[in-house]
Amino acid sequence: MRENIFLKCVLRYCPLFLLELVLSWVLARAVVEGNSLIGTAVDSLLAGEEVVFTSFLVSLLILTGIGFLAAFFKSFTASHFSIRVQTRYKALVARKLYRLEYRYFDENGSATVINKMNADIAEADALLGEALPFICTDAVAAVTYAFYVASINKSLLLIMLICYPAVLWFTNRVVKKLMSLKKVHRQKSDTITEIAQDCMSGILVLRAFGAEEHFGRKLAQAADDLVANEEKRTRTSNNAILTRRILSWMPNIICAIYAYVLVTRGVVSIGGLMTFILILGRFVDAFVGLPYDVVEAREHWVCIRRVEDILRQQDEESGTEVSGQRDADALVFDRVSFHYTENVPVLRELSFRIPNNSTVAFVGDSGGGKSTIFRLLCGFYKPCGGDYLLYGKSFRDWNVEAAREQIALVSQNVFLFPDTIRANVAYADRSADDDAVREACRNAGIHDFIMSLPEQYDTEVGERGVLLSGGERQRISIARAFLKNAPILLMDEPTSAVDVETEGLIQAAMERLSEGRTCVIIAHRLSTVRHADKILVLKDGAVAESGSHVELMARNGIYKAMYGEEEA
Amino acid sequence: MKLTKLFFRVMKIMGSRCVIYLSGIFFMSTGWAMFTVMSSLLIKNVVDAAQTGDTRRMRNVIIGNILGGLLSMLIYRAAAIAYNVEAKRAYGKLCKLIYAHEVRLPYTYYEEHHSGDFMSKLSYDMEKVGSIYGSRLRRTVAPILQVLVYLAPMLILSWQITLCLVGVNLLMLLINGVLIKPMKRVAQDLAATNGKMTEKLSNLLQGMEQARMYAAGKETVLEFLEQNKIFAKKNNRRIIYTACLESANNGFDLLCALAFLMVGISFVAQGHTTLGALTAIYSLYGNFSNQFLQLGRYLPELVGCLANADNIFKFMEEAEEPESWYRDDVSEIKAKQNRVSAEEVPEKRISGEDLSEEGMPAVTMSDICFSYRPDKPLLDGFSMHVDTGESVALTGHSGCGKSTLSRLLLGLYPVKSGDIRLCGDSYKELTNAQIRQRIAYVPQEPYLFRGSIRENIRVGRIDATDEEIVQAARLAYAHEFIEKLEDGYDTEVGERGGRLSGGQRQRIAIARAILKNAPVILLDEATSALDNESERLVNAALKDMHGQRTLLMIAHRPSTIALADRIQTLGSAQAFEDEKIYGTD
Repeated sequence: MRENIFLKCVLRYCPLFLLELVLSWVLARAVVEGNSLIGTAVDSLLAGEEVVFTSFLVSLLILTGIGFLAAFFKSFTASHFSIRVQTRYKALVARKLYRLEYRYFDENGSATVINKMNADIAEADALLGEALPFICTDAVAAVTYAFYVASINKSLLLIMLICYPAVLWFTNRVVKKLMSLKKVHRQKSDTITEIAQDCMSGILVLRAFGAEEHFGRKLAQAADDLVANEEKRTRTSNNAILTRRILSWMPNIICAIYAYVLVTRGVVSIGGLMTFILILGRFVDAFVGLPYDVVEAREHWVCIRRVEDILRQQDEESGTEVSGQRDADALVFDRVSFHYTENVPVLRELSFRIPNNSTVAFVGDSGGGKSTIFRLLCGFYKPCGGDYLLYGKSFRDWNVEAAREQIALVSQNVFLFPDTIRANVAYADRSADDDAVREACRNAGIHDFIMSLPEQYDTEVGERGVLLSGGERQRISIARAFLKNAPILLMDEPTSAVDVETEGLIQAAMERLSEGRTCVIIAHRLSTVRHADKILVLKDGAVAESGSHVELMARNGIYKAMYGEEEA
Repeated sequence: MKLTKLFFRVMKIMGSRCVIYLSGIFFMSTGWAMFTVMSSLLIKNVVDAAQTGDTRRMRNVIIGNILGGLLSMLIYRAAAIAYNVEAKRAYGKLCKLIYAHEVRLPYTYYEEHHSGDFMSKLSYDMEKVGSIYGSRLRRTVAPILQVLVYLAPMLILSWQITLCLVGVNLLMLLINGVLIKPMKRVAQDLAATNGKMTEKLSNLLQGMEQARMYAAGKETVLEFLEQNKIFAKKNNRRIIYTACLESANNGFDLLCALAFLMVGISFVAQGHTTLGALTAIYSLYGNFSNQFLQLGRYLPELVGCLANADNIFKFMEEAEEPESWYRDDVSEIKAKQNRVSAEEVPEKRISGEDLSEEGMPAVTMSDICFSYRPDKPLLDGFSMHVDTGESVALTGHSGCGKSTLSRLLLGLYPVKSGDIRLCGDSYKELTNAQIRQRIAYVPQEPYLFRGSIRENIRVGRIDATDEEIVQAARLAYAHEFIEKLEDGYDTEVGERGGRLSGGQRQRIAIARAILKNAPVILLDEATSALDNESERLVNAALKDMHGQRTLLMIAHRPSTIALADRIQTLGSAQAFEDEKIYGTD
């Protein structure tokens, strides 16, 4: 049995839940008692007895009083329960996300997929806040009413119990069918939005090729498809609704007529008949609502299961080492092997040694394992074989957070938070004051640009920083690295387009940043690494050549060939 | 007043089908309510029969009730189908109208409106308008119709009791109304906190790499936990309000039911009404009360959606790109160009014959002035000339107007003064569509549309055969990698071509341009975003085209510039350098 953290949260607050159930029962009982009181009144009326309304009235008032209170506290406990569980669950998830092995994020694809998690967690709200309370109230009420009917006449209950499961079964099927039809509908309307979005994003191409009409036709086709599907869906769903409505009416008729027969036989009084019919209405409402709630709950549950998957993942390993040996080499790979999937090695017994305050560059074809080296250096992944030493200590022994404090990473895909530029730079150090932020930006060669913006440092960058160009984003990330002021610097050069001018700015900023630091660069263009102390040429996950630019050019090997190609 | 106008406009989109749609709503609501009335009457008759013992007459009445119920359900079904189909048809119509308009706006509109924001806003508005057709209007109207249908038999059965019930319902409506405002405020407050939490979480998730590398990541988690606590605390107030409302609804429900029955019984005792009628009213009352409380609830939502409709109509009023920037009446030039293109023999280009000998002017720009803002002239009297079959590289520092120049060439903006001639014809004598027919464009960002590789290349020329597509891919050095893919030319490229690498996308974009078979190929920094290997292949493709097509390349990579016959520099030193190296023409 796999551990279910959500259920654990629920169990923790289960007294509240039980209280909610009890209160639901009290409310249902109040309804039943009230109705049976009426039934008695009717019977004594028909028997020609004098009905003393005042005594009835007092009992009725007490019952309604209980009803008011029970309803209030039922809602109160239900909400409390739901909020408590949610709060706890969300806290657990947030903590988990921060400790989760990085591998999980890679394997589960892009940020958008993971972004779904937000929606998934919201589903927990919906389950606890709506579906679950509805199910409880309905189920408790249905059972309470059933008991009451049995107290009038057992065979009445029997008829009810025979008739309704059929309805229940059918309703269940209908609901499922409707759900699947709805999914198709969603897909079809997504297609329209997708095409429209494509047209907008690719408007330049669309215009240049005069393809407006072509895409117009595509859109019209998609819209027609949607309407056609909708016609089908409407027919099916309305047939289903119709059948359900009639089917669930049948037991009502049967029960009413059976009750009538019982009255004519004198088994049940007229008052009994009346209360039975009144309660029957409420019973049906509660009973027929159940499958809807259950299906809904099941949908929510699927989402919660996805979150559970994450909660069950392994945490990052972390040791106790916090400082290392400062006089040792900053970074050492000792015959490190690594693969993402079995039998597809990315690094093969890779060894290198990066002394303190030196600059080392990795070059080589894409897919040669350069980015993987960075991931290992940051501790996002652990070597599958061999050892990685940070300041003379195996990374396995390091406390992960302390280890990462030693490293500033300027990565290729810079993520900017939807916040001000100042906040984005200060992400490296929340306690940094304005002057420190400005200093970092000046060093990163972005200060002048920021000052040219109307709102300067208070400019909001759009989601994913879309309003800034690649070069600007890169420099903001360099500013972050300045602010972090870590002894080791990892730089993944941008492959994306920047013009000559910007390239120069970035180059200068990177040079400033590498001063007095141990610096590792992944280079996509060789022109930028000429000054490195050492260049490692990677091929198939191992070092093919190494040396300074001059040495490598003299060797007439891979490096020289690559260099020649680039200059051509 | 404005709202009614908007409403009529929304309905007008449907055209005459509006009548079917509205009758759909009417019969759907009344049919559903009639069914409930029938089932209540059935109960009345059963109880009355039990009391009086008149079985035979009652049997017929009961059967009549059942048939009536079935009939009203059939009416409901027919109406519901008509209604839903019409609603979706209207939505489809709206989609077509909007999106057809959307792709025809002037280019500046797209530049000014950030495409992501703009799209999501537009589709949000459309969804809202769609929901007017699909549900909002019906939800607003249905309670009124249903309450009327319920009220009639209730009044007939016993007007005294019914009026009492309406009174109590008004009281409940009042309580709901009183609580709604503070509840809304609390809900808004909670939504804000929840929004903050969501933001923290998505910051954490999207920037996971940064979150781990910087201490702030941990702080984000702590902030989230803090907001989480605040959220729980703020919820307390909402819980109280909800509990009050639920208590009021449930309690009044009970009170009403019981008190009503007591009053009813005393009426029965005095002979004002029958036990059966009492039961029937009671069972109708549940439905009545449900609908009564819905009265007015959906009206604000409908009004809100009409505001969205207003946005849509405003968008519809945006002017589309004119057929020509320089002439209002294009019929004359269209007719003329049609004549010319009919006479033209395009085979020469397809066969790839060497054109460079001809020395025909392909592109001539003379004294072009253009600026986005009047105070900052971007192009001031720029001139250049490209012969047919020539390859020219256009360079210059960033911001000097290279990309603007390519957009002017594509006719996306009008030039302020000066003239552009393409294959001898002035832009003032061509429609925008004709201009674009003559230029094949390869943008810096090789945009691919969702769909297969084949479809993406075919954008170049919609009527191209599969063979022509393969041929174009070969010329663009794309055929080899496409064939290696599992589904070959039918490989889906994903959103924005995301399943392919940048270099692959660029080569497909080039294949697209080759397929178009236009006199001039315009490349806007086509190699700047590529790695070494891709750059080599793209350059090879450009090299092959050299001499066979007229190439205008905006570039800053030396390797690409090296392919050109001639380099033209844009910017301050332009005229001087041009003269120095090549002499004036």
